[in-house]
Amino acid sequence: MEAGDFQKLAVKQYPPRSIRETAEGKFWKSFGSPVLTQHVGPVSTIDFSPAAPYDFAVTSSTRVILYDSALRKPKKTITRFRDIAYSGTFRPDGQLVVAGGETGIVQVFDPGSRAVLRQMKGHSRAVHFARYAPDKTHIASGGDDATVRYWDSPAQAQLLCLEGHTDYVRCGAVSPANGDMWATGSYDHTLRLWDVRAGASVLRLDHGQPIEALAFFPSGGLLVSAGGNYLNVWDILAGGRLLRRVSNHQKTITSVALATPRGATFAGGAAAPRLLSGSLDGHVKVYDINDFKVTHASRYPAPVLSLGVSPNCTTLAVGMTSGLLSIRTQEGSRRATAAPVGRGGRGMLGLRPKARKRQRQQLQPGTYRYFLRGQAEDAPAGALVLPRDRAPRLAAHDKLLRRFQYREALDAALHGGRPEVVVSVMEDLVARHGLCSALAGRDAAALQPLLAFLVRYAVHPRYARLLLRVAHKVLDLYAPTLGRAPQVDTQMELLRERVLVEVRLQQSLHALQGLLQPIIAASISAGT
Amino acid sequence: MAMATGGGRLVSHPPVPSPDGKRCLICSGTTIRVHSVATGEQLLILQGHSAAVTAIVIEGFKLGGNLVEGGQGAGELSQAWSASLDGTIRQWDYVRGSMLRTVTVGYPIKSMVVPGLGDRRGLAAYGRNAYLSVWWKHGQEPPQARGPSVKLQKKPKVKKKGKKTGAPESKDDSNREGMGDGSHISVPEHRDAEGNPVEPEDGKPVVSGSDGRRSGRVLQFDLAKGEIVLPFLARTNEPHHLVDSLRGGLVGTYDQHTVLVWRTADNKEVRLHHTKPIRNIAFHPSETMVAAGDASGRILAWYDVGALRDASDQDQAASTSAPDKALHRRILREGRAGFEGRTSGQLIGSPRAGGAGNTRFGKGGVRLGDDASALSTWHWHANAVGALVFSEDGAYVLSGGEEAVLVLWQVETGVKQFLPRMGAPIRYIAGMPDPTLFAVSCQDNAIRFVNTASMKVVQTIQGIKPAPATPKKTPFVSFSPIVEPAEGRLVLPSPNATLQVYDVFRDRQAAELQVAPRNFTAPPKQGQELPAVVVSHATFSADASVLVTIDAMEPEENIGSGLCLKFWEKEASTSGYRLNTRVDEPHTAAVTSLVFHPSARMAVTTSLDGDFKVWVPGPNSSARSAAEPSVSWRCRSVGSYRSEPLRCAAFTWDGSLLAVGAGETLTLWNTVSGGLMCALPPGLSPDQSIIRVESAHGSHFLVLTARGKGARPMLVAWNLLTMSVWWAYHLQVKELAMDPRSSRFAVLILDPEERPKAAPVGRKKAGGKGRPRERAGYVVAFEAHSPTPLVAWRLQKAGGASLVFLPPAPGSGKSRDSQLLIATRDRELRQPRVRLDTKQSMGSCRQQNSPHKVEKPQRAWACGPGASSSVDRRTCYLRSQESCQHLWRRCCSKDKIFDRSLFPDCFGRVFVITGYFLEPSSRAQQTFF
Repeated sequence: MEAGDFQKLAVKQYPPRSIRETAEGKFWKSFGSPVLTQHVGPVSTIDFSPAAPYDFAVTSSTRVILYDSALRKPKKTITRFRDIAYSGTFRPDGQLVVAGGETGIVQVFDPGSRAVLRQMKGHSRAVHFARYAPDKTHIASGGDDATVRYWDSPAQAQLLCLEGHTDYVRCGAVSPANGDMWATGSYDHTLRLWDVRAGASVLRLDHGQPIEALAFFPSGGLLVSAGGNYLNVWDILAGGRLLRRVSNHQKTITSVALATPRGATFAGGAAAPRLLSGSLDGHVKVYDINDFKVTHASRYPAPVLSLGVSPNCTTLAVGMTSGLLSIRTQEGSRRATAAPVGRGGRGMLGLRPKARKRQRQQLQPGTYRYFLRGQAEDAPAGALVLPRDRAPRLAAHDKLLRRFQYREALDAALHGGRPEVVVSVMEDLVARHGLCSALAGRDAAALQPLLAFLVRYAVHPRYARLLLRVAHKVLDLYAPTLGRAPQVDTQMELLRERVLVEVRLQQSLHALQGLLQPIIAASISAGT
Repeated sequence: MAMATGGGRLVSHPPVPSPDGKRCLICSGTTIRVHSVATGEQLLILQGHSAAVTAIVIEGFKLGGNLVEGGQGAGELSQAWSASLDGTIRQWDYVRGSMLRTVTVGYPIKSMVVPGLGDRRGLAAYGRNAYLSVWWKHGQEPPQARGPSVKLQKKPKVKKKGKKTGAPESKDDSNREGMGDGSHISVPEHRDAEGNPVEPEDGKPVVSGSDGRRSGRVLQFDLAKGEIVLPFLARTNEPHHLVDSLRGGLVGTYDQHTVLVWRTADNKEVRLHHTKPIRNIAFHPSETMVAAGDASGRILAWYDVGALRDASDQDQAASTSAPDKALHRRILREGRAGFEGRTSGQLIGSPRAGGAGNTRFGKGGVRLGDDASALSTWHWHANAVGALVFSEDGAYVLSGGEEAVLVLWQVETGVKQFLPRMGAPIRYIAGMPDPTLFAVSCQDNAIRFVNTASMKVVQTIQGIKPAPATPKKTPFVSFSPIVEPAEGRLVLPSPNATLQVYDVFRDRQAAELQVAPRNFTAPPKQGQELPAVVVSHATFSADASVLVTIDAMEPEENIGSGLCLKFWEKEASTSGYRLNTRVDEPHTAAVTSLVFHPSARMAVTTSLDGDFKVWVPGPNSSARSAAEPSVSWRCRSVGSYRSEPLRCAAFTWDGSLLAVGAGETLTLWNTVSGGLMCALPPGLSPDQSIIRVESAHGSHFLVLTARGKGARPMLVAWNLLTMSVWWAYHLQVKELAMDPRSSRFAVLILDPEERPKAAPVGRKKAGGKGRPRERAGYVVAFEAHSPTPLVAWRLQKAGGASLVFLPPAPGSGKSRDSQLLIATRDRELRQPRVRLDTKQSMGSCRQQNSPHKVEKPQRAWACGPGASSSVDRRTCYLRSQESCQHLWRRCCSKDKIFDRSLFPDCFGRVFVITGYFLEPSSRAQQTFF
């Protein structure tokens, strides 16, 4: 250190608290904070359009709301339902929307004009599942009348009525490998695989619990069914062998989705396929599909009823029983997708800036610009460049420590809100024998942040050794003034509670240690 | 005999620049060191004085940027005069490094100025008249003008044996280097056993006179003629620094509350008085203006000093002509009004005038009776003003003090500029020929050259820093100096939690490492110490790639004490050390030792909490970026022995065993498996506990020191093969150093003859209360396998000294042996001149193999040159073949135990070492290697 230089406060560094972060965790953390929308009723279905720009349909109460994925705002609302609507889903090219409903009618809408194009009547009770086949002309639907029906959409005619389920049919999916193979799940705990060419059930699998959701793996060989608080993964090609049972939720799993990005152009391992499940316990969990271990979990404020992932894996929409819809978008991707849209919009409005060539202004001597000229230019190659003698940038607490203003320095650190900085400042003050003077002589307003900090961190294992002593000193200093400022009294009470909780924890840990010690001793003696 | 090899204080006296500004002359003990200002490198050492050099005056001056020689010939261009406590003034050629002549004054000189020696007109006007501030003993005959006592050197050579003219001295004085001649006035010479002159810390020479009362005198001395011109200018309580003005018009000093000023033309004295003790004074280069710093931190500036008396003199001279008198009074009055107009500082007179009733203070705040027109006061320093100097043009005053802040005052306006954080309290400031450059002597033994235009330190001459203060309330003390094994550099703890890496062979600082990065902060009150952070332990790995330190912080009101264990890895690019791992609170109680494995990467800490921990490197699981090291240190295992507090640990030299001292028991642990091998009491009483254990290199011996309440301290050598005590002494070992290249070791023991109550002879100190008294001691070297001491030296100042074995100097191809180095408390490095000879040690090894068959003891140990002659006064080679034979006989005959053996010490007294010797136990050859 050269004489005259001020040494910045060395802020203590601690090892990261959590275990090493996985790539998966990083990927899901890159999804920004959610955009929350309140709907009238529970959000029962979320379906992303398979075609770009991946708009999505949200079914809630008597409406199907079409969301713009870029703006994350409702674009159209289809309200042509007499009763509660279910299962609003897009046709594979995204041009039409089909929805079931409490009335038992399967309806086809034009998302642009919101007009009802087709109505297919046949179900005697509510239809909870309706979906287009990949050939874009057929629709499969399942309802509470325990039947699965197969429709010809252009002709508005029922082709098949598949019977076999003995309870409500609640979900279904078409095999990505073969557009004629459909899987449906029912509350009779079974999952049936239908071949519409034969018009009959070819496979029946027992899940063990009422099935709430189904999803095919992209290969079409594996099928995952959700019911109760577990997922079952079935190997269809092996004749319906149960491959794995995954149980990570506390309550019924209501939705399951497979995120299978097609274009591997995104950062952070977005190309890997993932399995997501949402449950009534309010969690959405992400599984690695190799070993079905949870790689990421996130919590939502209400029981999760539905979830959807955009086909490019950049938008995650979660619907809840309270009618709340949460939309999260990956940060980098949003900018990438939003930019062309915006530019196009401006172009249409005629506001696109002209590619005007800026003429170089002739500088007038005597103007301010004239004196600033040439400062932004780079030095030519080979020129001797002298670095500018800049004063080092100092944090607020450093500046105050340099001026020996100890109390202000502590206040600045407290204001910054980083506990390691506060603790480092306190230790530096101890080394200067200035901590007591920095703590003393505060009024209620100045004491407030210090007490709040102590309440939060005094029993934290990293800082407790120093902060407990500081808390003692603060109590010694300010105990006589108790009862004068209500805010201070509240904080003191909070501090007391925190310490009590910690003491109880320590006692239970001691008890546990006492229990373990004989066991460990016995194991050691047995080992030797 | 030990001689100083390095270190030494550079900042006891102000540095003096050469007129061309290229060199800087520094008083360092008895020598003058010539350094280059541009590089900071040492160019020359001028040796010759026999006591501390206190002042240097340089002949030659600068005019208009060109150097003009001060005298007739060009040879005088590089001449300097130095004054010393040995009572002589010597003239040197500081470029060629030769001593030109010696002038004897006869009194210990504290300070010297030669007004006008830096100015051609001055030299012409005043000649080489020196003003000296000397120690004067009561009852001594008053100094008189004497005849010439100048002796020209026959050969202008530094290393010249002096001619003996004084009282007969013992023979070995003849090999003292550069002893000057002509000491026909009996100047009390004080030397310690090493032949080095004693210089007390405060510069007071040791007095052994009749009543011992001493005071200071200021006298005038003609250097050219070598005679005292004016024997008595003033008497002071003790001699202080003399200051002269740049053009040579004024000379001054201070005494308690008074400033004394003489005009060099007629030696007329002016006294200025103040209410606080004065600490230093400075003169304006061209005007009759005097500035003084006091103990409360105020800077006072008197204007027109001596003008009143001039006026009255002229009045008397011109009393016949009344109009002249009136005219003169008018001039004086107007001049004084002019001064009042420009004194813009806070006038001290105005607030006080009311209280004092205008009786003590005259106009402008000057005391009545003081001969000055006005007084202004500047106050910024919180503590005493440490240094004060005017700039060359007189426009600025520079001051410094305890706060380690260099303050630049504008004389006209009192506006301040600061250069804070100079690193340590400022002791002296000296102007350089370059008007923007100043040399600042700081307390941390550094001379920093400050450019006042850019307010930056441009160059630093760094000596060995002083030892850090020990905090009173905590058990943490700094570690003893250690040696960096790779390059053989000395690593010393220094203040502000810094390690100083010092190259002993080149006598300069090699590097610096701040263990706990903190800014220097001055203590809040004067005299209060702020120890802050102490590096209590430090150790290197065998290849010096890893440095391990423990730093401890003194708590403030029980808040925030903390130990911190740090692992530093050597960086290949910069060869500095970079922090790798920090472990907060490695133990719950104080850490007592820190050792590193001799070959593997493994460190062990022991603590009073009863645990020892083994630290090894492992993959860094918490690295968040590629910039962080991929390897971090972690605790591999924790061991304890019956929850005894552990005070020491050592690896055996091959690294297979770890010895840990647990109370009075020595426990041995397998370093690989971590299992306890055995626990054996090394013959200690239960009250004692082992406080230090070391392993002798290349042998199967452990050396322990132990002490305890109610038990006598012990030094024990323990044989690992026989698992028994090999030999032991009852010795209070202060320091223990192991030779890393042989099985030798050295211990420092305090002189048991000196009782704390008995005041040392002639060491009466006024105001010396509380200062740690210097105790004498002995440094004794042993071979681990033999109780016979190899050699011993007496050390005058043993308190706080430490021992270190240095590897041989890189250039010296012939010797492979380590050199023993003694670092005194004042951080002076001394090296015993006698080498421990390997061959002779081997002889004693044979002797050890068959202790029962010793018929005629061989010349077992090194005696060194001259030891066969009569008893050396200063060096005590435990010259006791007889007594060792005696010792051997006794331990062989009387049931293997002896209790008292006699060692003659250096002063012919009897120095009793009590010890005992145990037979090697029968269950020998228990192999652990």
